[in-house]
Amino acid sequence: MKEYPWYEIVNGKDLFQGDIIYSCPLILPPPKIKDEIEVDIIEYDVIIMSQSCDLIQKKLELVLVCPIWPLSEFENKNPSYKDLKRKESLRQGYSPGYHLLNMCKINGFESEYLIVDFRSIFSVHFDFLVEFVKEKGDRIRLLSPYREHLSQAFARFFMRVGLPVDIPPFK
Amino acid sequence: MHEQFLQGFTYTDYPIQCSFNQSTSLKGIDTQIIQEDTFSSILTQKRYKAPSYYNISSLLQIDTSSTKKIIFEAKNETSKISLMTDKDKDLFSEEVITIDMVEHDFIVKMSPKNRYKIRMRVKEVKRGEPRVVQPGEF
Repeated sequence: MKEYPWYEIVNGKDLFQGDIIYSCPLILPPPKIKDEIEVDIIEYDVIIMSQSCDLIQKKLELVLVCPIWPLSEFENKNPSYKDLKRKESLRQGYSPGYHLLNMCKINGFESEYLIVDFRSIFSVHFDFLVEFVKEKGDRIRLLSPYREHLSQAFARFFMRVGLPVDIPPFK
Repeated sequence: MHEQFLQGFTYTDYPIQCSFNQSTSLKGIDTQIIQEDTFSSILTQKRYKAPSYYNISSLLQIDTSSTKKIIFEAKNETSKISLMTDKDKDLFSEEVITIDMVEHDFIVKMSPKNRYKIRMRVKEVKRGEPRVVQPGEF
């Protein structure tokens, strides 16, 4: 049976949906803008969520990224996810805010299972990101169809509708 | 007769359940049509008493290859649920997990890997303008 690898190594300035960028700096603006401001810079490992076609044709000024974490860190932060049932819910896509990615076994880029957090969406300036990845060198790219699966999970999370008055549950 | 060919197989390890009707293969459809025609002609002949389904089907050559159970093989570690025991399947059943996740929509606040402050001088504050993007080829 044909192998369908999850990841490949890429480098250069061409950004694609599913590119994983380690320690990406993100700027948090202060509540008020004055002549001189102090801004917080936070660093996350992120995965690009913007569509590849928009990135290739440079139709975006800002690139959408979501933070990713190793599953073990995620579990340590919320031990309820150490429970197999909870992890299984992640795998089956029942935790809409999160998406599980497979472990990476590529030499030099080994990682355990990764969690993508859809609730924390950041935008990074396109030009900045291009320069940043060029400096960083090799990076990991999530491959098809796992990339589309990630995108679909993000869409599913984003299109949820909360009803003001719901139909009461059947008991 | 229909039961044999319309026996659907449902792959339960997927949020959206898909039914695979095995009679949709050309061979299966052909066999079904031939069987129906044969039964019809036998039953409409007055000299025959309508025999039971079992007896008739034993007289016919039926290719049952299209009705064999489909086996999904686990390819990677994220899809090992098909290898679980019945006990595990009960524990991780869609129903149990869905109810659990609806009742407890957990949100995990993760801290950034690194955090620091920088000072910036604001050069200019201007009103943003719409960015017009023409549709193009991929």
